[in-house]
Amino acid sequence: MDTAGAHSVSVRGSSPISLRLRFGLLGQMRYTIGIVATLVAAAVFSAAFPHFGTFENAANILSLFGPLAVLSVGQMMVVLIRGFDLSVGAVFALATVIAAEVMNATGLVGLVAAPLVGIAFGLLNGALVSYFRVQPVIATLGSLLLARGGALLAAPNGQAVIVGGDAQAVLLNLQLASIAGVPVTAVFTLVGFLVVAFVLYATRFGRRLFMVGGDPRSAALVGVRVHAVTVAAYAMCGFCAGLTAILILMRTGLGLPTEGVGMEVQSLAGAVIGGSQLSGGYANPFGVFFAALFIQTTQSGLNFSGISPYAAEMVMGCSILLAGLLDRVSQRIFRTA
Amino acid sequence: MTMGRLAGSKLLQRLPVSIWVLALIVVVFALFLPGFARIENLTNVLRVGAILALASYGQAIVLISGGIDFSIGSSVALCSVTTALAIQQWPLGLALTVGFASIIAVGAINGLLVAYLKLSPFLVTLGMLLLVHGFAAIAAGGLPVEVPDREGIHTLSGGGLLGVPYPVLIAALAAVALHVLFERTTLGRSWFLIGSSRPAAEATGIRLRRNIFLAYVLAAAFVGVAGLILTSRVAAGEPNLYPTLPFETMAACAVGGIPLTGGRGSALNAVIGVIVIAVLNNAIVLLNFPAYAQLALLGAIMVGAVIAQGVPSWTRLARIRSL
Repeated sequence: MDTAGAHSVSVRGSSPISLRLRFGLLGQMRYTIGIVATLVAAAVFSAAFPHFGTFENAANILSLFGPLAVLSVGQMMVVLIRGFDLSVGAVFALATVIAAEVMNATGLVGLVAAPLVGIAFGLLNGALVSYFRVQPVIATLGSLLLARGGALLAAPNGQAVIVGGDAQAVLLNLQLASIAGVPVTAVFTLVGFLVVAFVLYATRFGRRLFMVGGDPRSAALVGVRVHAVTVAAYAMCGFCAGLTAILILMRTGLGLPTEGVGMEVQSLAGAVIGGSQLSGGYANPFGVFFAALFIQTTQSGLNFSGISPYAAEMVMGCSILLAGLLDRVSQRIFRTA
Repeated sequence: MTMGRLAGSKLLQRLPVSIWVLALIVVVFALFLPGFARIENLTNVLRVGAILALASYGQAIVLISGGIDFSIGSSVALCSVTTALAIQQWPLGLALTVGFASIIAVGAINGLLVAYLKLSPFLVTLGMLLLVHGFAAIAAGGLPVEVPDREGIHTLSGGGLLGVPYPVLIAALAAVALHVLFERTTLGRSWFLIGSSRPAAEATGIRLRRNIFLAYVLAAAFVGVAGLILTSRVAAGEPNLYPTLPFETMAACAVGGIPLTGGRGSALNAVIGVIVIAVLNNAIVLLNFPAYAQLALLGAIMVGAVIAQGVPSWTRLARIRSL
């Protein structure tokens, strides 16, 4: 009975209907949740607050959502291959501190330190998860503690590091600049997403990510180096954390050792609301883009309403529970053996 | 004589690997760290460790049954806030009951969502972490709630019996209770089955959803005791009470030898893991390291311990087993 049940599941998993569900129009619906949610949130808040639906506020939301969007798309890469990264918040905090200190020594070139720190932690996470077979929770939790402790140790007295001199002026000018009314930071973010989309859909590496996420054993059987792909995915996630650090440096001109607490949770919510599934195999950068936009719109709207920031925290908690529900529902619909 | 040696080696094999790690660091610190081996210091290590121990028992239950709980840091904070608010109008006993009940409520919500709606425990407890913290902070009005000192609230954390502090006594009794729960009850045994293979557990006909739900509720009961002792120690309703608690409990379980993959572990594993973490934290204080180094070291030790315990699996079996 039970073996027969398992067998019938595997047959259903590869039936035309199921394949159509996964790859057909209905299957693509999962990636549109972010867009719909953003539109609903924007409509609700615009109706409630007269100044919410203005062009300036939209530009403001666009300039604020960059860090979360970039973190979420990095998170999406590791969720795609059945992992997740809890260290992203702490890693980008460490990256802002290190980059701020290096810039104070070398000038603007020191900004390169931010993505390098991110990649280093990504490689560490990836190596731990693949070659050392450590659970992603433990590996990335360890990196979280390591990076947070490192950030507080690297910053004098655990205080924010101020970027001085020309570097600061350049960073802040970039933050304030805009192209045709769209903030430069938002353009950066969009370009980042296009690059990720190119990697995912137009390169062999991208196909391998989907293969490993869909079924690592089958991927290994057809000759994919699963461990190497895993390390690369975590490294890309770390790189995204480094880019987030650059966006934060542009916004504040500060290396902030205590920044990013809770961002790992928000980025996971961004990835899942954007259509990823924690059991791996699904990813769409544009779904994630709008999911991050939804989270930022909601938070800006709650700021407009003037309620306690703790209520905003509760709403965030609810959206993560909602993401959990979406994850479950999509697993039921798109179940494969 | 041969029989004796055999029995001895059997016993040694049954002991968790982590106990040797503990023995090693205790001997090294006792030899090289002045002030470590003093009886007051060791009592202090246990007193501080007792709260972590009780919370880790809860985490151990959830981990063994195949879940994970990130929400316990927020739920002890909620416990302190509700207790502090209740104590303003009600007697101490009733206030403590309210605090305990609030943690059970959080555990029950986790359990309902994970067991009956089959949501990912990871996302559920992360969501609850934010939800419960936000709720506690709003209930407290954003600031710590003062507790009038006359209530004798300190007794639970400060008092003791025959020189043994109450928290240590409670943690020891709870360890025995946890052992009995794991080894001698059908419910406890079912968690190991559920944690190793949910389909197999379902096939045996055990009441899967009820047992998973009870795992979260009973875990909350252990965390609840930890929350009450913690509340008694700070004597305030503090919405930001112990945010690193979930991470420390996971570290304690990982170091003690309870894998996050579920299905394996014991009460002894949890106890050893907690003592290792408590001893290391104490050593960091005695060595006058900056407090931030504690975080970094905790992370490194957690990962290191897990790698060390996994050595056989990734040397011999890695190529045979699944990826």
